[in-house]
Amino acid sequence: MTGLEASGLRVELAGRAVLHGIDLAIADGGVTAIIGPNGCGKSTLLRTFARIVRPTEGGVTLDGRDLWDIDARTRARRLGFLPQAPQTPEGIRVRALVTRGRTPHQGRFGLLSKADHAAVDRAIERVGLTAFEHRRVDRLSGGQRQRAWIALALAQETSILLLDEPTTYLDPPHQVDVLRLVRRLNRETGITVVMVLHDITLASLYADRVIGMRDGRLAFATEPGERLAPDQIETLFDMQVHALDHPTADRSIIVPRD
Amino acid sequence: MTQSRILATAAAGILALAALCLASLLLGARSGIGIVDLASLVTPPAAEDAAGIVVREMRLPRTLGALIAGSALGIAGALLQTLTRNPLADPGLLGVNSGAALAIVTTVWLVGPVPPAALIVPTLLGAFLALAVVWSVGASSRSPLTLILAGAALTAFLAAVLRGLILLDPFALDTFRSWSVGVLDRTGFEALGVALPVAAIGIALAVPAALKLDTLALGDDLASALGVNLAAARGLTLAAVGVLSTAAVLVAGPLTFVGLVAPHLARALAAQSALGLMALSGGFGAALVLVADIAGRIIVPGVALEAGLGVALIGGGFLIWLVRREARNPA
Repeated sequence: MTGLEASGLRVELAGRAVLHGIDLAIADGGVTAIIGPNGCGKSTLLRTFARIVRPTEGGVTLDGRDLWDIDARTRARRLGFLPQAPQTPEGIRVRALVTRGRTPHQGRFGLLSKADHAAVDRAIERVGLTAFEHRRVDRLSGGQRQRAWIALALAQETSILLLDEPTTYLDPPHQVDVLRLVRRLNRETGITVVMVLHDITLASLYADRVIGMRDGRLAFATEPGERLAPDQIETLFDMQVHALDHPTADRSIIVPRD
Repeated sequence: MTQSRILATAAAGILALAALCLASLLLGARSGIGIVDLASLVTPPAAEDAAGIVVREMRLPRTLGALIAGSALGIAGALLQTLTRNPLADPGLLGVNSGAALAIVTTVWLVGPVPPAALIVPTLLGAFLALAVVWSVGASSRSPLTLILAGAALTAFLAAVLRGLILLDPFALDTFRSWSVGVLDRTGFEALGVALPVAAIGIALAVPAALKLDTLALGDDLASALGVNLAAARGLTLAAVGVLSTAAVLVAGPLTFVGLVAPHLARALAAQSALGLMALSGGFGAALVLVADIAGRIIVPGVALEAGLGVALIGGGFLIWLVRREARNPA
């Protein structure tokens, strides 16, 4: 199959088991959100998909091939990853930052081709930062800065993008703004998105498919388009919830019971 | 930086360096050397043309030596500071230059005077051994000061060994003097001919390393997601640092602080990429050593002070200022 697939995935970090046997296939095309309590292993799962954490047992395949057998540059042209807190080089401008996304496409001497410049232009335009491309990244607002990082990942021109908590540190309107952008990019370019999210309602609204994790195991996985059910959330958080209908979208809104 | 600003900066830098080189050829303990004596650079001076001989045989090699050693150390410092994200990293302060110098002294002590070409391998060994020691102690720490303290300890240890060797063989004091502090007055064409290709290899390693460092600056996770092999990138960078330090020590002995100060001056010009930072640091490093060497020749009439002393005077004050600033706002 094409896409990412974990089978029998076990991961230990510093001698402690974090993932206990995960089987999960991410088919190409949709937006998937991974949710769960703190420490459930959702970020570790994403980081294993990104080939940053190495499994102690089981494995991850990309298009049917073992992720660790694929040459690093080839993999980086197919699979992008944005960590939760990437480092902003001091004084860097938006365009220079986004250009670094071209790394796996550049030749030995780092010269930029016409295709590189065009990809950077497109990425900056897609996230709506064209007017800001010569601004310093450290002087942007939190929401704009996150758009700049997403543009870097877009300039990488991968068909799969992994986002580790892309909405942390953002206030509510900017969280919605970033997730709308992510969904629009998926609809317009067909890029497959897998993201770790904290907020259940945002996950329910902006993901086609929601994966629930608890204690290093999968608790549930919805089908694409399927609505979240209250008992799924209750298995994750030990909390009684209601699922309400969203007034306009065919999605659930999860609220705690009083 | 825009294309035109890069060109303007490069042109200004080359002009400034050319002016310093001219000053280095004309100024010194022996006065009365004028522009006409520079003709000896093109055609060998006659035996009775003392001024021409001074320019061609003494001032030309030490000027070229300052250019090679200064730029090599400036580039090495820029690479180290970018790699470790540590504004205090410098091959001199980390003991790499001392390691290389001690290897030279040990070689001379064991086998006697050897031609400069025979010193390449021991100098490389000394530099890389010191780099490996200080890296294994200090690189994993989050505090920038750990690496510097490890370097200071290593430098003190190497200095003690060097002093021990000098005490064992008092007659060698004069030979070894030049290897305990950076000097340019004994740099000859032979040493230059040996150091130049070493520096060229160092730069050939530094250019691809700098390109990888740009990606590493985004953090290990993102760099890895962008297809960079982290271990290979670090190894390449450290290899460039070791080779460049070796080239510098072969011409000028263990100069400290050049690799510390030059990248900070370069950063003040807002270099956007590691490659740009590297190029600017090379220029500033060369300028720094030239200024220190010229000042050492004219500051006290009749006495030539070592370039290493001038650099240490400038760099020591700079280091204190930097440490105070770091202590106030830790990164």
